[in-house]
Parts: sequence; structure tokens; C-alpha cells
Amino acid sequence: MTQDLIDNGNYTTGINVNNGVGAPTSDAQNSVFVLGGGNTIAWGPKVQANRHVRLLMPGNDSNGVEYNLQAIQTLKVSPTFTVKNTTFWSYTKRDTISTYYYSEIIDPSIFMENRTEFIFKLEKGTLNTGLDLRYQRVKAYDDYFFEPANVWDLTKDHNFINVYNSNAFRNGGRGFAVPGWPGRFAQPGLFNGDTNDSKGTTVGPFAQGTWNANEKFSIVGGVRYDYFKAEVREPLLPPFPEAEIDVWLPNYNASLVYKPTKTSSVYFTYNFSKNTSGAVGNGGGITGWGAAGLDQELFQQPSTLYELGTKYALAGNTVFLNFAVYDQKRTSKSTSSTVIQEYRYKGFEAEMNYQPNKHLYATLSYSSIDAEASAGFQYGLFGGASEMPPASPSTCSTASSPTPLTTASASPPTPSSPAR
Amino acid sequence: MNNNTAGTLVIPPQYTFDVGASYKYKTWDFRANILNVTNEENWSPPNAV
Repeated sequence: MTQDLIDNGNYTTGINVNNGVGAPTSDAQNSVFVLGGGNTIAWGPKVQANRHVRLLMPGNDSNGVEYNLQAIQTLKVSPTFTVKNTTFWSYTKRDTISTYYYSEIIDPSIFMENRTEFIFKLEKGTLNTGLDLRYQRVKAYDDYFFEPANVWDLTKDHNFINVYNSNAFRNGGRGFAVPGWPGRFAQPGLFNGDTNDSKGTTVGPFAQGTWNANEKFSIVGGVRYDYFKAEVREPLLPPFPEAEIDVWLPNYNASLVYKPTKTSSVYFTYNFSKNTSGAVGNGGGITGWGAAGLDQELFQQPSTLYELGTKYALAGNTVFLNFAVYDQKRTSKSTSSTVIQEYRYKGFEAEMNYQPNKHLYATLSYSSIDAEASAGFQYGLFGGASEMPPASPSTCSTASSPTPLTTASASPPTPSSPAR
Repeated sequence: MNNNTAGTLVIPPQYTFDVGASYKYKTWDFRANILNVTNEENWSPPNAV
């Protein structure tokens, strides 16, 4: 990726010359000599990029099946007391191969949840309390440590975008064979933080209440306290270590709502929670390996949110305006990594909904986010300076620090809620 | 939007314009959405994997 490509669409061609001479006519990408990183590339001319070309070999694909079942039962015991039970079951199996090279196999992921709510209508508010039970079983195998993304030339024959041709990738390179999947390889979860054979069980009591002190003031408060138990097995790297861990994960939120007029409101929301690390890229599941086994900190990553907003209804309840500013700080395990890092988001959102009658609506929204991550994504995972075209930054491609991004849309209004 | 940690690779401001409409009739709700109406060729940050 170069700035010239972003600004002007100019793509720098070139293939590896790791063998000192370049590609034979029988191998347009010189794929036999491709390395996982540190490739030496002979840069060719810049050409205008075709925006529809993708870094894939013909036949590369992703296939998956997912089944979801949900049952919701509601029992109205009295005008002021309702019991609601929600059961959800999900099964996912997915296989992705991109021979440039990225591989992921989820075989399978099974998720079950049962949530019982006791909903009370009170004189000056509501109370919703209950118990949430969850279970997730995942086997996933992922491989992207031999991923020479910059070494391929998108203008040359895509039939040779294939690391399986590479001498360095013979028998998966430094990858491990995936059980039950001949010819497929993956990195241990101990290395990449994604591959996992895991079971996660959650028992989560919760309560949320709204108290309308008077016509102008309301208070919303909620608490949830999850007991979470994880059982994790490393499925690839002998001696296939197994470990268990259990943690308590709090989640509190509180909102103050003030209605200066009948058609406007101002709210302030605070939320604090601790959250469990997961295999972020690929179908969930639990990893959380640290240097000395399962790392307790990876299972209790804090997140704090402050939000201040205001809402208006104008023009006889046909135009609705929402404005909000927020500040969120959280720690999380980056994709494709075993390392947690800190993220900080500050943002502003504005939304206008126009609903002239109950049949039609339109929405215009704007959001601006200033975000920082404490470290770049996958820094150093890609090939390094030798794989960057001349006169372009010598750093790797990373994702961080988005500056304001403008969006304008007209889409279905989302349920209005002060909580994010 | 910075596209690397050094801030030397930058995606300039860009936008997407989507339009949609719905029509409610009795118990039916008809919706139609067109995404990226102006066919903007936008960049996104690199996929992390």
C-alpha cells in the first residue's frame, strides 16, 4: 500500500527476485521462491490500478454453514408482572483459504443461550431482572504467519498466487497440520491467539431498573455480574497443554435523564465492564494464553464509557434530532495477537430522522471518531522494509488512529437508547 | 484516517451515501435500501488478517 495508490490509483508492480534472477516463464509470480517475509522485490512500472482486482487465485473461496434457532416465550402473570424466556442455539462451520496466504477453519462453533427475565411494571418505573446462561464450544485453526501480502503482483497471472508452490512453504512451512483437514495448516493458538479448542460457560444474573422521579427526571441503573469459566486446550502444539480459568466479570451502567420540555431530553450515561478475551478474528472461542498459561488479565479486560447526549422532537413530532459525545477507553486483544493493548475513542454523533407519517422515514447522520491504539496492528508481521516500494513509508500497514469520517445515510432508525 | 502507526499513509476524508425508504401497511413493513448511491470508490483500513 502506498500513498500514490490511495491518492491517484497508481499501483507499483513487481515480483520477488529471491533466487537472484526473477521469474521463469512457467511461473509468472516466481511463486516457487516466495518467502513468508523479507522478500527481495524487483519493482516494475506503476500502472493504473483496477479497483475490482483482488489478491486471490482462481478457486480461492470461503464456504460456511450456519444454523440458528431461537424460541421466545412470554407469560403475562398479571398486568404488572411478565416472565420472558429466550432460548438461542447456533451452529457454525466455515472454511476459508486464500493461497496468497490466509487460512481459517472453524470446525465447528456451537453456541447456546437461555435467558429468563422477570419484568415488573412499578408505580414510578420498571424493573427487569433475571438470569442469563451461555455455553460456547469452539474448535478453530487459523494460519497467517506466512502471509507475504506485498510479494504478489496483481497485474500478473493470478494462477500463481499460491504459497503452496513455494519451497519455503513445503509441508506448511512452520505451520502444523490441521487434524481431519489434509493439506491444510495452522499456527498454534499459543502463537497467534486465534487457534483454539475451547469451552466457555457463563452464568450471569442481571437487573436493570428505571425510576421516574418526576416528569422531568429519570434514573436508569443496571448491573450484571457474570461468572465465566473457560476450558482451553492447545490443539496443535505438543504436548497440547490444557488449562482452566474462572473469573467474575462485572458490568454496571447508570443514566440520568432530564426532560426540560415535553419534546426534548438530555442524558448522561456511565458504563463500566470487564470483558473476556476471545479469538477475535475467527468465530469466537477462547484463547487467552500468556507466558505462563492462561493469563487472568486477558479474561478481565476493563472498558469504561462516558456519554452525554440530547434529543429533540420538532415540527409536530416529525423531525427528530439526536446529538451525542462520548469517551470510551478499553483494553482488548488485537486481532492476530496474544498481546492486549489499550484503545481510546472520543467521538461525536449527530442524527436527524424525518418521519412525516407512520409510513415513511429518512435519516441523515454524521459521526466523527478520534481513536488511538497503544500499538499498531501486527507490527512487524508483514514482510518488512524490503517489501515496500521505493519512496513509500518503510513501516508496515497498520490500522489505527482514524480521524473524522463523514457518513451520510438514510437508513432505518435504530431503537433510541442512551446506552451504547 | 491514518493507515499506519507512523501516520505517513493516510486515507483522505471520504463518504458513503445510502438511501432507504419504508412503507408500512397493516402488519406489513416494506423496505428498500440502496447502498453507496453515488458509487464512491472508498478505501478501508487494512484487514488485520
